[in-house]
Amino acid sequence: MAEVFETNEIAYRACILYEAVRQTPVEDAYKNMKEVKPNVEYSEFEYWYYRFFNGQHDLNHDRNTDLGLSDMPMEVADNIVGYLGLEDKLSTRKVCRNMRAVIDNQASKFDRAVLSISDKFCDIFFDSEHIRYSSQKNRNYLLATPRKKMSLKGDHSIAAIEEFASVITHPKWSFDYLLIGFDEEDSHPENERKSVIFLNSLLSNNKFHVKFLSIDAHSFEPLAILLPHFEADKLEFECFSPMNDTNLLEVIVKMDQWKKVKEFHAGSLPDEFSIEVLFHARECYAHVKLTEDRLVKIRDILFKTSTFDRFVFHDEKEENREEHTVLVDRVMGAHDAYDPETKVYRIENSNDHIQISIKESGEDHSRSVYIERIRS
Amino acid sequence: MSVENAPVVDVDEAAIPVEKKMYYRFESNDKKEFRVSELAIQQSETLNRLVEAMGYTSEDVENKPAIAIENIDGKTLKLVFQWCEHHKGEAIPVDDGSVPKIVEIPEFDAKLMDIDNGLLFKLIWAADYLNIVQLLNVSCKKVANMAQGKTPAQLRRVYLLPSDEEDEAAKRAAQEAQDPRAREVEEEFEERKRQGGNSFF
Repeated sequence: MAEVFETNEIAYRACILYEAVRQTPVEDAYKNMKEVKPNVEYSEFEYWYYRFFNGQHDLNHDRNTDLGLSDMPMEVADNIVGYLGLEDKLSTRKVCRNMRAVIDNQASKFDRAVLSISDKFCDIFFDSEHIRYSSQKNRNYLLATPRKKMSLKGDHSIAAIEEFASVITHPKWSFDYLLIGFDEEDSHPENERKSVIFLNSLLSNNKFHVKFLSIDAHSFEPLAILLPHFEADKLEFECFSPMNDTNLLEVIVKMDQWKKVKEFHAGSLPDEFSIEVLFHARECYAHVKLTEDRLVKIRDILFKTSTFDRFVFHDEKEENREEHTVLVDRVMGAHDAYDPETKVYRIENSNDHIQISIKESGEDHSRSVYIERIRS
Repeated sequence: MSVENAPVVDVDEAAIPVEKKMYYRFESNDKKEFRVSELAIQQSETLNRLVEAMGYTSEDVENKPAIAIENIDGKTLKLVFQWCEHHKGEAIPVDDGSVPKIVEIPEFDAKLMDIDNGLLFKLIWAADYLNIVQLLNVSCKKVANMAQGKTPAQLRRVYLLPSDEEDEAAKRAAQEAQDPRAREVEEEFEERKRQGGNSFF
């Protein structure tokens, strides 16, 4: 190749200009340039390629006169990253140490972080960005983000948990919604335990305030381990498997974090679950089998609390069970305060009353029992 | 300075005496002259203070030399003053420190900022230097929009930043090299720092 490209910078730039104007893909253009000038630096080539590509065709441009973010005062970088969403902040943190410092100094509030774990793959959602870690052979995993896909060494769940923990423990970031869940079908309880212990170790002594916390798992163990880290106004939880051990629940309900919850959202609660542990909340939405015993607790304990506004129990309809209306009328009707016609339960020494209503819902004709305190 | 190249922004010469508007003259570092209305200048805290301190009369504006803005070129200053004229009289937003910030880019601003990255950063630098709060906001928002969905390598091009390795290599090269050019680079850097204030990087 002619020596001119080695000695004359302008001649060499002209070759890049030719490739850029023809819109040759950057990799191919770089290969071609290697033929023209074998010892070319990629970063040097790339600078000119993109400059020409973007319509700035001046061959004599002096690179030293360029202004970039590194020439800006700190408040400019701060201003720019203030507009970035979580996913772009994470990407920008990886650009260089200075950008990481700018981002890490700025307090930010995000909507939600979700970690969903199964034996084959883990999903993370940071706001709307979806990141998937899929297990592969030979202890590799495939990382797929909207920006890239790559195969990496290691366990998919460990990598996902580390990423999730590093984001939620960021000292200046806060989230309204945090959801941690295990797949009901595709996650082994033993793996669930390992994952929770690992996540717990990464959260170390961190405490978070969130509006909504959700923990779904086979047992109450993840809730028992993770709840001490969180102060949540609303708590959603689900326990897929029957409760073998009620001790865990006893531990959970003694926690301040449990006592401070104002609203519960509970998935299918096991038969052994004592529903009175929910009664301090203002609102509660739970899938539960409404037995006579539970209705008695609702009448004798819940109705005597002044804090609750609305409890809704969803229950399946079963052929061999008493109709919900009949059961409710029988249990509530044991007291004079209840009128089966209006389904109103009067509260002694108060102008408030409790309204019960039973609605049929869904294709399976399940029943929803609404219990609302109507304030005068 | 060439008159036909003085690309001033919707100035209707004939209207000036009737409306009794005051137009100040500014000059960029490449000797381009601009006439800018008093109201438009209010968008820039820096220039507004400057003209208040100068206390020019209408005659002074015409008779005295144009006010020199030494660190901004004509191409950038033209965009700055076009923006100020378009948004003159608008309230200057106060930053309440909330993140993520909510800033909309109006159509006029979007068209004005349909420029290459290099010029966009010059515009940002000028908006910061002249303390034009809303222009700084929309131009920074524009960079943030360009950053959306990019990988760190692509982001380096958006922000026109060297990677840590390049950055360090450049610093090492500057330190190690004892030739006159290396000293020049250092001096240039110090000079830039003096001009640009507390440059962070």
